[in-house]
Amino acid sequence: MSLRKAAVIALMVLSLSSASLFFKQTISAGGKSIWPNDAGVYEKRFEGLRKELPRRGTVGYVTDVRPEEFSTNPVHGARYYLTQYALSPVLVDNNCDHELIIGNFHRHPSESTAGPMQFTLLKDLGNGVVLLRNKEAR
Amino acid sequence: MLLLPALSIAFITGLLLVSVLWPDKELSTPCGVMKCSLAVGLGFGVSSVLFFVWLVIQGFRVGFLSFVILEIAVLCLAFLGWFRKRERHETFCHAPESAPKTKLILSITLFFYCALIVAVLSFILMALKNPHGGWDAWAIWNLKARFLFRGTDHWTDIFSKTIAHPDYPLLLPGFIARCWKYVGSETTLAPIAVSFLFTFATAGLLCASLSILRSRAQAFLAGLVLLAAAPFLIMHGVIQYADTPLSFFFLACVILFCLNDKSGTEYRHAFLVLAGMAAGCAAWTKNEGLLFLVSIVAVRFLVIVPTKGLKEYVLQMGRFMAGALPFLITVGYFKMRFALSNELIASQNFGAILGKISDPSRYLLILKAFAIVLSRIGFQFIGTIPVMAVYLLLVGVKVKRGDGPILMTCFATLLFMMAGYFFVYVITPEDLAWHLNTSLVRLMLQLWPTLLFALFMAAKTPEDMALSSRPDVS
Repeated sequence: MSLRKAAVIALMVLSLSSASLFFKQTISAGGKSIWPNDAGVYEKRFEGLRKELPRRGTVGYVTDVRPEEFSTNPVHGARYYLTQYALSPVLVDNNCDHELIIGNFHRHPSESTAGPMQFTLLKDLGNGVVLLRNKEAR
Repeated sequence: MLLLPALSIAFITGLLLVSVLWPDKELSTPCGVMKCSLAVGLGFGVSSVLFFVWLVIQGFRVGFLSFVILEIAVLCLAFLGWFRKRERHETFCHAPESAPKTKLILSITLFFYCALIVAVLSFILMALKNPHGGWDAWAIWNLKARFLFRGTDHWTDIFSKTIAHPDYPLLLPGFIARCWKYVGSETTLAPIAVSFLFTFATAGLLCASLSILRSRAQAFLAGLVLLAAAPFLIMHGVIQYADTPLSFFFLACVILFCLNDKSGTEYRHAFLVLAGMAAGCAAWTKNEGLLFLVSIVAVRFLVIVPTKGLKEYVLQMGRFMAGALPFLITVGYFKMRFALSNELIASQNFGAILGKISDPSRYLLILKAFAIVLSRIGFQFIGTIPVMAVYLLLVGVKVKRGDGPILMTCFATLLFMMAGYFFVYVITPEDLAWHLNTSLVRLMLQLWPTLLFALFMAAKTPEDMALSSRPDVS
């Protein structure tokens, strides 16, 4: 067998074994999503809240994560974007300068790093999702 | 159920447009695959532009039916164009040379089909587990599609400062929202199907073009390598990023220029119109598409002017721009009316940019990141580029007569694009390490199919090896 033929065969074998390995990994992953924050889970999480919000407009966003944690752990950033994704076409602004504020909490209140709440609770939708009112918002 | 008609209308429009410009008397399999693959991208691109026009002229005030009528009118026009030209038979692409069917060539074919089945199954299984796609899908592309679908009458909310990357063009979100409008609900099957079609149409383009320009076994070998780099290509398709359609349009444009260079018929310039459409679609997909457009225009100047003169270059660019213009007008209007500022430039002043340009440590960091990514991407256990380098050394390079401009176009475009990406990293206002870490692999994916096309255009084909190992009978 010539060296050229051997090179072609090696490329073929390498390619197919790589594809097969990927397929095996896909099968063995079972029903798991490849993302730590599955958008489908967030859809259900915010299902109740969507009905409470106006058809359009901008709402604020508060969570139990400090802003500096956003850059160190992408999961926290992902939660904000997933909230926006679930609630669109309502705009979710990542601050509290709005009359209506969405609270998205993942930690137990005792572990929460968020500061004391100055907002009125309008509705607790469970699973750490709350709708708040900021009376001081312009 | 309505998703299939929604996709079919766009696909058939694309197929008719391609067939109007590229009529063929005897349609060979590679030409058929090529036309169908092109129809996916160009049809979806045209449809997305129509949807944007419909939004801008506030067609939604009279209902979605007005858009359906607009789209069917375009389809009918494309049909009329095809009907008038159907008698003008012209074989634009060369039939693949008949080659000896050796065991090696049959094995390559078999391996390719195995890889194709594995890739399709992997895609479907993973897509069902991740129906909303990955980060950029729900933070940018599908999010914007939701705004266009859910908030049609106030769709300009996507340009709000709270939405990531408001300056990104709307080919993908527009087309997905359009499909949802047809269906009447936000089925996740729409973005999955769009991503699936772009992923496998890219493979179709690569295989069909190499089959036309080199040989069938070479085409299957390239397709095998493309599909086998599974985590890279298939994963990005599954997570529904816009980089997959963009890589499709880059490849399509380069291939169409190559077909123009290779074709000896008087109608070859039709390939340039199609190439322009592909480049225009790229610009309507992502901002990198504009960089690509500038790169290909510059590269063709370097390739054509020294060999064929300025007149030929101007003629070629005229045809090219005729195809690109409808998309460029759309992009231009979109940028000027809605999304003028680009965050890479708007968020920093000239002094800050100059400071970054004169910082050598940034260049070193970017070079290192490029080297790492280029050496690792591809196969599951080893980078494809080092493997391909060894492969080329072993099998050898064969530049056919007249292939010089083709190879120059491919490699110079890749170099220009890499240089452009490099410069963007140099001046990025983001943290450089973070920016490289989160985007470089995706940028390489955009160029990946074009790189494979260039490498397999240069490499000797399995048929060459079969012929050279045959005993001389005469």
